[in-house]
Amino acid sequence: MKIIEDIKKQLNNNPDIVERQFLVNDKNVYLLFIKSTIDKTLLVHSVISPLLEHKGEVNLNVLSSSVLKVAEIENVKKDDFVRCLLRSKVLLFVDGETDALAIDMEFFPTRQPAEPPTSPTIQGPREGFTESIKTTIALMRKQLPSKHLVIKSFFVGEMSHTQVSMFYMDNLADKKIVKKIENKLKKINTDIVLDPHYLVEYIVGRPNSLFEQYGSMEKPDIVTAKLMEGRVAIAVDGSPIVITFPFVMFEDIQNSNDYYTNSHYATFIRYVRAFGIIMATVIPGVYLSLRLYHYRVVPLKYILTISATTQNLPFTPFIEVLFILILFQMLYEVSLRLPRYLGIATSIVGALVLGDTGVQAGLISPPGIIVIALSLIAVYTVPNQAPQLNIVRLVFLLLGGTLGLLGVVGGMIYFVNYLNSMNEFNAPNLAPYSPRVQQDLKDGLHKKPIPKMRKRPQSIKSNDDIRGLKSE
Amino acid sequence: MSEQISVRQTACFCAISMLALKLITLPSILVEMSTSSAIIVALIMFALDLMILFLYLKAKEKYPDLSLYELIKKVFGTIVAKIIYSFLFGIFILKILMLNNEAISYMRDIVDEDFKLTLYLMTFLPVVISMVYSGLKNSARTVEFGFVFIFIGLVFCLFLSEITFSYGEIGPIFKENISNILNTCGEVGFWFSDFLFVAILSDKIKYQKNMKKIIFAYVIITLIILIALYIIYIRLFNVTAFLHKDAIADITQYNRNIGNSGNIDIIAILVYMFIIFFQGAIYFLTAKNIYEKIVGYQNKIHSIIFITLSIITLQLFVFYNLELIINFVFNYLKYFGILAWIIIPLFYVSLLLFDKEKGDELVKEKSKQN
Repeated sequence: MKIIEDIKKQLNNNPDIVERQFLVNDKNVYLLFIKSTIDKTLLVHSVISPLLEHKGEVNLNVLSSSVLKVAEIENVKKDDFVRCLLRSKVLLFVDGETDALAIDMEFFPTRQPAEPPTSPTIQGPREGFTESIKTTIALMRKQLPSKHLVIKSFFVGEMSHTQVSMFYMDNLADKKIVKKIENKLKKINTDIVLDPHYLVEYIVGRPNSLFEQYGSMEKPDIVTAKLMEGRVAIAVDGSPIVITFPFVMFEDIQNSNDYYTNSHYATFIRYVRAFGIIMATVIPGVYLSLRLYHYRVVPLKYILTISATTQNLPFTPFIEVLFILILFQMLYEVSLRLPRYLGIATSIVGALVLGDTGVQAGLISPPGIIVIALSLIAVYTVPNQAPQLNIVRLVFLLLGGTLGLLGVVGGMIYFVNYLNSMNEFNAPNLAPYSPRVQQDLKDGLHKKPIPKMRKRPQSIKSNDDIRGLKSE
Repeated sequence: MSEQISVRQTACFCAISMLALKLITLPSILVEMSTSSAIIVALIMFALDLMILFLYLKAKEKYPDLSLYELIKKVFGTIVAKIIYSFLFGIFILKILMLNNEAISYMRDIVDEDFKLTLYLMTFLPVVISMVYSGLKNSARTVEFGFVFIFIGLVFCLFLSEITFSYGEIGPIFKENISNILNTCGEVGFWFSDFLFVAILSDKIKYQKNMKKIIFAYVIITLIILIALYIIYIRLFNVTAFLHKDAIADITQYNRNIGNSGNIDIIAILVYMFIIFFQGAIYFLTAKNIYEKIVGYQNKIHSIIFITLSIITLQLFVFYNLELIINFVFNYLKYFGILAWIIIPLFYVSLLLFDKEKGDELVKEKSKQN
């Protein structure tokens, strides 16, 4: 059949493109598919067997309506043949007809939903998304069986034609925000989309910003909670990550575990996380400024301890702290990239050999190591912010080393001001504290019990402020 | 009107404005001039400032969308408005310079004796300019965020000072005669008149029914802390006040061994550093607003460049130390109070009492001109 030869030619005659011809009631019927992307067992049972057993009239309408035992089938024109084939559909041609039937037989190797490594739960749902968008949609449907859930799908990427799905609640999400995101998704002009992070920079207003302007998660319970606050979620086929808009920075201090535990403990742990952010970013800079410029404000007994351990160091405090920081950062990077058993070995070499020997050799000081280690550990109290906090820490280190405490305070104010200037989709980034949104403080650092949170967050625009029935 | 700030943010601005120029040299100056009666001077000045703030807020209720400039222009015309605003521009630039000089003096005394003026400007200006560039609304949010830390820090300083303090030891507060007290009031006027920015930025503040209540709550709480700190300072350093030019730090240093916690004046240092930047931004924003009214057009970059150059030039070549600017204020700005406490308040009183024209009509006129 000429059209089949044309399609194969368009697809470079790749060896996984299979053409099968059958004689059904004296009429030629052709099947064309990419064997690596379809379920062959299903094809045999649902398409080939019924075709071979069919004794009546043979045309596309009859086959689609009363012969083929498949769930999804569509009649497609010539222009869509290649697109359908590439989307794991089986094309069925009948001699003498110009159209074809596209039968959904998609089958890719996927993993089962499991607890994602980025957001483990102590007591709560453990199910996470997988790389298949069908699983993502299924899990969302399971979690949120509501008539208000809207799922819109687009295909983005000139080469990859990746399925991108947008989720929102039509009764909660702000229509303007939905429209804005939808328009931006439709306008994306790129070759390939492998993950939602590929889309972020097309959607946000300040793609060069140091700080995140979106929420990212891997669990349907978290996405559901975000949708219920009027946010919009975006999933991409091929990635278990789902991103949400609008975003406020405080979302990263909140954690799904907070809602599955005692409110008092959640409050305590949120304060710890907030303190962790300060420790992670500012402590090395403050330590350096105190050692270099403001030693007079350090209590005498501490200054004596520090000076006893640092007096013979060959490096200046700034170089020493910078060296330790870079060393730790390299160790961290290596432990991520190497196979697990090698990673452990490298950590031992780094921490014990380099660290301990460095101190004993008088190259680095124990206070320096303690400060940097404390700062590096503290970053992971808010893991989603880790990349940017690592950069901010370096900035504070430079400020503390050059301008002293005044530089560190100035830097803090600069960053707070910078974060305040990020109001993507009209959601103030530092809400509920700046500006102060009284209602949202119930789920701020101090977390109130869930029944007290009758209203949805005011910092995120929503069409319906009250959770549950309004009459209660 | 998109650049409007909330009432709570205005209240934070007011509270910080009350603190900025009063924590370092002013207590020392007051005690030098009026000994233990300094607290009376401070109370008189605070009372005056509060009354004037009340007038500004009343005017805000009557003319929600008009600033001091439009009100002066309405009564006296554009030229008078521009002359008064030019004077106010100078005042706010001088306030920035005073703030800078106090900060540098403080840094040299307490933190680092080799602290350089240029290093200070290299830190202060980029942060303040970035705040001003990001706009009034954004800066107000940043101040609102930082205010909590300032407040907690101040309470902490006060608490640490209170531990060893006995109120029974406060000296005779009416030691000086009334004329000396009033004379001191006139001399130190420049360090007060903190709420002038409310009149200047009045059109940028969102109107809210209970605005007076919210703003006064913040102001009075700050005032209580401030008066408590003044009382402690006067009691601690009465005759040796001239040796203690950095009030807030010296108060906490005095108690350095409390609870075996070591040298805890780092809290005072951090609180004061936050105040420097925030107050710098408030003065800069007000100066920018005044400048734009004088030149008659709004251009963020032009006004920031002009104000920055003015600050750098005056700071490096004219008022390069604290004594110079204090002498200048005592010699030439003695009568600044006449404008801030008599002329402008009387103008507001007369508007509130006798002006029958509604604010809405003036707003229409203003939008037509724009």
